Amino acid sequence: MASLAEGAKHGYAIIQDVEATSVIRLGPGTLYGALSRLERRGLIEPLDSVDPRRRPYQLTPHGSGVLAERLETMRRFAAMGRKRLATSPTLRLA
Amino acid sequence: MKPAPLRRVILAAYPADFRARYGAELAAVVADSGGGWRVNLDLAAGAARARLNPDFAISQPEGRRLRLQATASTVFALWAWSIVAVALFVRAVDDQPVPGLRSWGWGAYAAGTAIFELSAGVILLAGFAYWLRVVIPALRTKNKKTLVPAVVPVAVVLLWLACTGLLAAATHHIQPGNYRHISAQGPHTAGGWAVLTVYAAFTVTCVLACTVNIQRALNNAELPDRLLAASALVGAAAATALAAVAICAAVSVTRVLLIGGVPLPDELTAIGAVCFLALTSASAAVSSRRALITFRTGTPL
Repeated sequence: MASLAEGAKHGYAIIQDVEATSVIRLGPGTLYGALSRLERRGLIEPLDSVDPRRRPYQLTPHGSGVLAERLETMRRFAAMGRKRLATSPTLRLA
Repeated sequence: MKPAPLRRVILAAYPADFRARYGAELAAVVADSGGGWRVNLDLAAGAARARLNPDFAISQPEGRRLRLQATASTVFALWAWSIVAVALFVRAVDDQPVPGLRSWGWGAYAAGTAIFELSAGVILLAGFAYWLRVVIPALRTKNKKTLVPAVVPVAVVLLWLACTGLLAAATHHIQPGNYRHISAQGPHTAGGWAVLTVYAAFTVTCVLACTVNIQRALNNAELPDRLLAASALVGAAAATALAAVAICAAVSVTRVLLIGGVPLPDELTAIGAVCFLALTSASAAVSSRRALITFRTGTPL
């Protein structure tokens, strides 16, 4: 979903973007399993395309809201983890 | 097998509605990815996930009927595989009579057998009623697409019964009058093990052929939703019966383990069969619940 935040992309473009930003290589089966679930939940939608083999997907307004909410939760979680790690006795011993 | 044909087979393993919606895109991404065993493995895992947890909303407004059909064929498949598990359990626990298997151990065994036989009778009757509902209209309209997969399971069951009868007769011919002894000891020669292995593979193939063809017949027959929802009730009853059989089998196998003296492979077979029955009953219950909720709300789960 974060990959689609900057604009519509087709399947292979999503794989390339995820690999470039997170070093994770998504498999086609994993990607389309996720796309079908996201589409069913109304978080993404397909766009019309001349080539049906390269159909792009974009976030819906609901999807953008859900993504923003998830990213904020992750940001708070990461901040809390960093704070605890900074005061960790294990870290001080090291 | 070369990668390309293998990939085609894996792509064909996705459910039909998934292929219709995403098949072309998926094939294009696979071609762009360049293939390889990692991609094939990922595709196979994706196909398995799509089969085990199908997304019926893909094919709205057909989703509701597809959900109900899936439950009918899933419960039948689970029940068919449960027969194999029960047969293995009985072979492990009873074919070599356990000395001292009395009281609650035997009571549980007998109760489990009775429940399984009763539920098998009910499911066979319900299955026959549905079979007639599929076959009669297909005969009238000469719809071969529905008729052939509906008739194949009957032929397969008859073939299996004939082969089983022949094998039993041949076994008695080898050592007449002592079937229990033969089954307890197992084959003594490499040829005997080969026959047993072929028979086991044949049984598994027959169960597979029946389940696949029944699913195809149901898909092609397009039964009304109300009739399919009734099959979800039969599914819920089957799930309850399988759970009861699993509990009885668990109690019985506990007694067998307490008594001891049973060969380890038989103990493991019995425990495996109990676990399998528990899994099938839970799966049948989940599938039936989804179908009933789908029928009530109209939204495919």
